[in-house]
Amino acid sequence: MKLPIPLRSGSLQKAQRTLQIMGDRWLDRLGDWNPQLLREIKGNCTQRNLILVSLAAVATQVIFWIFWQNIAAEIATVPSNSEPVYRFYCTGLRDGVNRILCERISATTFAVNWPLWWLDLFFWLSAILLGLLVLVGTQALINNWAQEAKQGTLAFIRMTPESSDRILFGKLLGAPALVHWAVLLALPLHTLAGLQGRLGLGGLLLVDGVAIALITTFYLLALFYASTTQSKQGVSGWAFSLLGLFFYFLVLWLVRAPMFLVLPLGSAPQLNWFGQDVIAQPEILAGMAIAVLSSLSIALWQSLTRRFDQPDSTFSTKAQSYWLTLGLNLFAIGFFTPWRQGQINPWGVVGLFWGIGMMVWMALLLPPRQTLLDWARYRHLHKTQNARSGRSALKDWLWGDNSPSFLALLVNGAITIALWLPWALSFHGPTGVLVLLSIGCATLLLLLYAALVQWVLLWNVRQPIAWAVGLLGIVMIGSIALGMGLGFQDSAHFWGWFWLMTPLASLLPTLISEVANPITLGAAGLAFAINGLAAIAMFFVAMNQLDRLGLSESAALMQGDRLEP
Amino acid sequence: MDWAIETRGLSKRFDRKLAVDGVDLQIAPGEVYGLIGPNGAGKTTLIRMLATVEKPTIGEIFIDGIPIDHCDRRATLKQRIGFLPDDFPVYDDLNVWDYLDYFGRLYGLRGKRLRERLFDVLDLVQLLPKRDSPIATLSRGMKQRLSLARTIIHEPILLLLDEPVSGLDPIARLEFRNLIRILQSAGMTVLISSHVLSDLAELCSAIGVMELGQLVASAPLEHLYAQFSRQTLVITTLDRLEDLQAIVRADRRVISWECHPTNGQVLVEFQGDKTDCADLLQELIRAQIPIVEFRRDRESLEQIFLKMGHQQAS
Repeated sequence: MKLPIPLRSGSLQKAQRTLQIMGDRWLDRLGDWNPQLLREIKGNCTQRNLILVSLAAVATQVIFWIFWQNIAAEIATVPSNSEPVYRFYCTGLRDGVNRILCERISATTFAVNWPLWWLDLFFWLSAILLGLLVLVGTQALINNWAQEAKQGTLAFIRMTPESSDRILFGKLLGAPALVHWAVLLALPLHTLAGLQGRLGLGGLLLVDGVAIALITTFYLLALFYASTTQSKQGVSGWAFSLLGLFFYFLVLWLVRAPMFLVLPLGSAPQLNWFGQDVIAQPEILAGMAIAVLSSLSIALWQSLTRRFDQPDSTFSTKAQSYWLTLGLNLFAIGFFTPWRQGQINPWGVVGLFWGIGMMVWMALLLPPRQTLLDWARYRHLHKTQNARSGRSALKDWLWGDNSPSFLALLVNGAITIALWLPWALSFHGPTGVLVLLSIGCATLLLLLYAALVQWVLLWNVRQPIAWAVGLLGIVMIGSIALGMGLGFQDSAHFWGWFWLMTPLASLLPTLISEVANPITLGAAGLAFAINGLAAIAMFFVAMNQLDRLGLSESAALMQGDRLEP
Repeated sequence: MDWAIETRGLSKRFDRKLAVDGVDLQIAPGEVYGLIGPNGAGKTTLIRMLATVEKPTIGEIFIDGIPIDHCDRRATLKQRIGFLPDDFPVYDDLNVWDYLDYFGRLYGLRGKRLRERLFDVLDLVQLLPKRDSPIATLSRGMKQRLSLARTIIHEPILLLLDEPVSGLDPIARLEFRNLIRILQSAGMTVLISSHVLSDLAELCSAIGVMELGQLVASAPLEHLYAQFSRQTLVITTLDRLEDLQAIVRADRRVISWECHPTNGQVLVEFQGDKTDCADLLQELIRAQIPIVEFRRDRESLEQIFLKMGHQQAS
């Protein structure tokens, strides 16, 4: 009778060994496919960590399931009084205020709308899982990057022949590997809930597609944030993650919107794109969300891989900015076409949209200080070497990676004006011209800011970025204060003064208060001219400084320049 | 001839300061080239540019005749270069095997070839018994050897080592020198920057001196010795020190001498080759002076470096 015991333990050991060999082979294949992913998994997924996360994930799901079951039990329970009962997951008719009447199936039990119950379970489970990924996943990515930057190991990875695409992909999947494992453990319940909620396989895949696109965008934004923070003392990752969570809640509200149609929560909001109510057509909304998020992700991806390969380059090439401006504007035009009367001022909302766009381009296209200094000092050599003419100097300003961004910003503004032109001309009266002036003003204002930032960045101070941000802030707030001051003195033309000083800043209060066309064509034109003059003046100041810094040491000495800006 | 490394007018500016200023460097294949110079002379920046970690402001770099384009770093070029910086950072969350396995895969090694290579390099750096140890538990010397293993995992033909022995104890330095000799015998071209000039004197076949961001001297080691080093003869006798001094005084090849009566030693600054040295020795033996020590000595690399006077940072 003693014989079977060693046999059994022997077979157990054999099975364990087989499992280990299988696991090793699988990991080996994974490593062949993406070495970075394997490295992250090996670094994060120790046996202890995996057991802890698995236990936590299963326990949380059990608690969530019990909680949801209790909701169903409460819905089904018939109270002792005989008045009609309205409950969320009941099956009866809706009353005038969208409440749902409960129907009895026995003396003690109401019928429960199980598909709705499952659908809502699916929604909240998905929301929690995504929230977890947004909060903890982005945090893991930022920490991972900060750690590599602090140790100085990124340079080694860059030196290998492995492509930056595969390395970043490995990081995206592997750095938050433990969170991904927890989410993976919740997928069976998530899938079951989706199918029971009558989403169907197609609907489930569509929702998961949106979720993947959303989390990819958040992850890439996290990596982007981590890679732009030069500090080696560790980045404020939690601040980013919490901010991410805030934006996620906004997105969640938008995602919840289509469910308003099936859930008894009141009327759904309306969102039109080229005349189509996209909230009423969840498939179109999901498709649009995937398309927009994917486009954003592709742009971020290109920027990240570019900066990974060349850390001293700009975030985006000028060519990319032109294409993205084109796409972004075409997409935005859809929301304002056809224009519905009674909406907020078209010039206000378009100007604000483009002002934000220009601000992004200003940050993404501004070459780093060293790149600018080297461009100013050595561009003549490249010109001589390639026997370049004035025409190719223009080419350098339009397409070159190291040249200042002024012309590219101007081109982006011109593309935007050209795209909105047919839309603007469809308005009668001065509204259309105001829209174009608004775009023009935003472009010129941001050109002014870009010149100012470049000028400050080339100062010989210890923290040029802090100086640039500070001075920009002072200029923006100062001009608003000046505009308000002048406005209060001449209250009949309050918004006019405001607009004159800082067109961009005046847009937001205008949107909020929904003032009906307070700006005259003359005021907008004057603002356009003032901004243009200021931008040109600042441009010459910045370029003069750049030319001076680009002098050779001997030329600078001969000119009596102390080589300090 | 295709140089293993060739630079033309290589410069790097940080802000408006030139850290490396128009360096024209040539290193022959298979050479061990030592780069010396004071702190801040531009050695690390030069090595980082050669390793493609840093982009030059202006100038060209050729590795094996292939130009480095920093915007389009070709995989073939990356396969040829191994770079070990002075702080040799490692991943503390991995063990020794996994760390090398990761980098081996990044360099395109797979399957059997990867495993063989891992065993080879671990054996070479004598870390095979530590293959399953977490990196966090290794000593500084071991981490440095592990980093060297990472640097050579993909069998580069050019090895760039920046201050590789800084902070190591004498035994670890000795082991490191032995490793470099093995790698050189395998045909690798090695560029080492170091402040430990005695190590460089033992390892290098050529030396470059950097000062103020410029390469102010670059020559085979023997040329430097021939040009700057004085030859000293150390002669020790049991007695008859006066007779020994008389012979030395009479010899026209002797430039100067120093007598140490307490240990019966005379240090002679001598102008002549090996045959002249043998002549002098024969003369001393004929005069029946009881010689117990007669050897040629030359100034160390450190003394030559100090004599050259290139000690300014950039």
